[in-house]
Amino acid sequence: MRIGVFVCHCGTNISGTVDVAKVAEVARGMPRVKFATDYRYMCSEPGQNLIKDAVKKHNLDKIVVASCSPSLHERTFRKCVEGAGLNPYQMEMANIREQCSWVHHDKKEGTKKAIDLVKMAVAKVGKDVPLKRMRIPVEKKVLVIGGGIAGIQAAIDVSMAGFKVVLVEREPSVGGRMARFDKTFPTLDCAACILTPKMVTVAQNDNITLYTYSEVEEVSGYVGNFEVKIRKRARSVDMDKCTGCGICYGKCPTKVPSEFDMGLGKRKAIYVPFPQAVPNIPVIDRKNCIYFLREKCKICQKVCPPGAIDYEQEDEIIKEKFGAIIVATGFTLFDHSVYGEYGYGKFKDVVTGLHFERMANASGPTGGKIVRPSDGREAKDVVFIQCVGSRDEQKGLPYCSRLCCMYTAKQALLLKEHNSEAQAYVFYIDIRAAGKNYEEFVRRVQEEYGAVYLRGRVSRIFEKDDMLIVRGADTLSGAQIEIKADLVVLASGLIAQPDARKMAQMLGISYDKNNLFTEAHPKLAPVETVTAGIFLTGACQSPKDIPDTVATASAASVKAIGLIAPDELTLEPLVAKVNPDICSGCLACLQVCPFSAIEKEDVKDRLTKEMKIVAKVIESVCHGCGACSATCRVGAIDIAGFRDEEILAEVEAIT
Amino acid sequence: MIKRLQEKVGKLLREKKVALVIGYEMAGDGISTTPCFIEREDEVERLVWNEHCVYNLSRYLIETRELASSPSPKIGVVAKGCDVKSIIGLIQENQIKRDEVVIIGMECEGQFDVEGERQFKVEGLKLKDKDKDKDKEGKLLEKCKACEVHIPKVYDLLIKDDRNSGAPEPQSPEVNAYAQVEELEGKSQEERWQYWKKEFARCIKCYACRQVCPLCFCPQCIADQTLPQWISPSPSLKGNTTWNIVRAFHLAGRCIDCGECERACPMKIPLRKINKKLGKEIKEMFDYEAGLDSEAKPPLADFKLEDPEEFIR
Repeated sequence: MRIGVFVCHCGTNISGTVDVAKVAEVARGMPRVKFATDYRYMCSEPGQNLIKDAVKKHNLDKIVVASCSPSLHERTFRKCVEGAGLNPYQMEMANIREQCSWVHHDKKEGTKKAIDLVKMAVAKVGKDVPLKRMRIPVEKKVLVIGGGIAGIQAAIDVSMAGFKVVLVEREPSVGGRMARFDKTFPTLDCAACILTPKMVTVAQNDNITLYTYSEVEEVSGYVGNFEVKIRKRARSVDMDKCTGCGICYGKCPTKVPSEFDMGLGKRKAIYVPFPQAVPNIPVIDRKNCIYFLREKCKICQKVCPPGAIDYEQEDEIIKEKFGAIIVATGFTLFDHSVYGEYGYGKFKDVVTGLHFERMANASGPTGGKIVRPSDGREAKDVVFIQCVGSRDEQKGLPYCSRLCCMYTAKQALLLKEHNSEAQAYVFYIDIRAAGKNYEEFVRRVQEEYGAVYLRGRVSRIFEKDDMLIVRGADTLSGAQIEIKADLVVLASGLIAQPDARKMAQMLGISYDKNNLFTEAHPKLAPVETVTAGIFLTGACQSPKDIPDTVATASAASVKAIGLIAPDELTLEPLVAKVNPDICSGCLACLQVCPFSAIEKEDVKDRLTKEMKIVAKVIESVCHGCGACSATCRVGAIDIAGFRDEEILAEVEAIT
Repeated sequence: MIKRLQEKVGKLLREKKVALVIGYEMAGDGISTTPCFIEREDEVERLVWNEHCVYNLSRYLIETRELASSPSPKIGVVAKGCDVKSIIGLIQENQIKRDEVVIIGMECEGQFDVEGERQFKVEGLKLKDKDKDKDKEGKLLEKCKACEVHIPKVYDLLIKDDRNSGAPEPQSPEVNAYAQVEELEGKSQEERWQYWKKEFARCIKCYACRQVCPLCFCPQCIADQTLPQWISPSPSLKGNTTWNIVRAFHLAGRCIDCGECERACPMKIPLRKINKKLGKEIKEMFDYEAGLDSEAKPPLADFKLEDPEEFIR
């Protein structure tokens, strides 16, 4: 065995606190080390060439690179030693940066620790065995969960590359939140005008299969080969027969508050949520339909010309395989009823920004008039309050919801456009308008549209003579302010969907304390998750405005396409392995495995020649997390690349 | 009771419902019993049942499972309520199959401390039935005082106690099963360490505790492995402590408190106390008791969405 040790300076990142020349010098005296040197940047091309040349010149067969964390450059150096003709898994990294130079100040102590870390890596590499990467076939199809603008864009992008996409949306129509908006900042395009062409594309593209009123129920399998169960809820309308004529909901006698209109308008028990819905096929809301409640009525069935109404329809379970999954499940609004100062959600004329959008929308419940929900009177003086829930660790969210500053400015503008006599007052903490043409837009709203911006918080809102009195402070002038308002619009923060956690657990992806899905790396892998093959887009990951959402949708699509484009996937061989000779067959590992990567197998015992039960690892599913290995009482499970023998060699090297 | 046991076993063998019955027979000392293996109907008279049937015979189910899995009939086993718990454990962990075992459940009023009785005999005092009853409480094994399963929870045949013709005794004892554990818990960490140091120092690593344990069924115990050698074989405090703690940990959430380890220990290390401590922790933390349900997921291999620990979700 001939081991080579390569110590990196990482500029001064390492060499500032570690005497790298000394580390290399000591390494030269370690058992089986035939060559050791140091270099400014091992990851650079000259650095990698230095390793390759040394392999040839000194006939090295195992390599230790003492540099940064393997999570950064393990791949680089594996490739490098592979290029030098060695097995890439005969290379170990000693992390003398994150685990040494960056956390220590004393150079003497730092050097001592770096030497120990190298000693451990040398001991481990000595025990390393060559490993071979696995190849598995890939299902060339992508699942997109969520049919808002994020999911729509992702589905279109993937389909444009020539791959099949299934788009699952739980509402009766695609469109999501964006379909409810009136205009979009900062260019004031009508939301529907720019969204509906994309919705139509989704419906018409041959590569896209659309399941609305459907939910993903179960996800199993692994990267390249996910197996997914989709529940297509019973629409009670035959999608093939329905022509979308709309006679049914014209005649339906039951009226209930429309979810799409935030309860400001009514819909029927059989309905399409909005006129441009895709698909333009109604659903029967079985909770409110007279037939489902009392087995009477059946008017829709009587009037339907093609006879598409089907009360007997049942949920359908669709099972499909996918190579990659894009999660675009979006957000919901923070519930402002925790705030006593805003009336605990009890005042009818204190609404959220989304209510305002519906009222401003010409096809909305008020026909484009900004009115008071309490009495329907047109609102003149409107107070907008920013950061409702956002940036409030006490009662709300620790984070900034990022788009409220912009939509509030837009709404102040729309208010003036809808009613030239109206006046907008905006209470804010500070204005965050960091986007292309955003700052200019906010200035325009203030200067051209006369919106009054007040820097301060509102201390109380109360009702007096059918008006709302808003009390607050303007911290810039130091004045106490009291405004008599017709309407108060709260910029409620964006939060994760209530079932986000369940979704994450089903997909096996991680989420943060706010239940927002976590990316694999905040900078370098912003649309990937830690679970291979699952990608994120839109506000399910963090609050995002439309431009950012569309950008992440395209980014996630490229990642998904990149994954399914090749015919085969190459998987790391660092997986669990069961020694059937000592396996007791208790199958505790099977129960503890988070990836369902262990199955039961009947084998003939090598010694007794009798049949027995043992555990078996499905290598392509195994992530090498080691939970099974830790659970096994006999110690029958080892992780390739992290075998007990290898780890103990490391421990013994420094004891 | 003995007679009915012999009859039933005889019938099982005669009808070829079982190939073998594991039971108890009298030992040479005339007081205690010893395990026996009955394969023929004419051997059934060897079978006995008394207050000295302390052994947990389910251990032998693992040794004889090849017999059971062959096309021939099943294995019968004479089992007390506590022994049945370990049979459930063995089924739960895929060591035996329920349909390959015939459980001959015994109604049990508690077992006596054999050691104590042997001394009794040496002193020349013969035991009489009425004396026996008088001193019953005093001679009962520690584990039997808090027994909740006088009648096994699962069985194929039940042999009832002749003396109890009516309804079985209420099965919830007033004795605190964790009294000894709680006494230790009341001590300081240093005191507890000194206590166990003293106890473990005596361990001779004979592994009798493991050999007798119905749930220590690993084909190669971690203590016997040499590559790597997890447990130091030398009789040092380090090796002794490692062994005893590893043994107890491997039984956490699995031990059904048959007490066989403690009985078998030649050095009289109070092993039940460690087992019970872990059992108590498991019960308090996961609301789980071993040996009650063969379909249950072992607590250490399971997780619940409502787990109070944030990190696990």
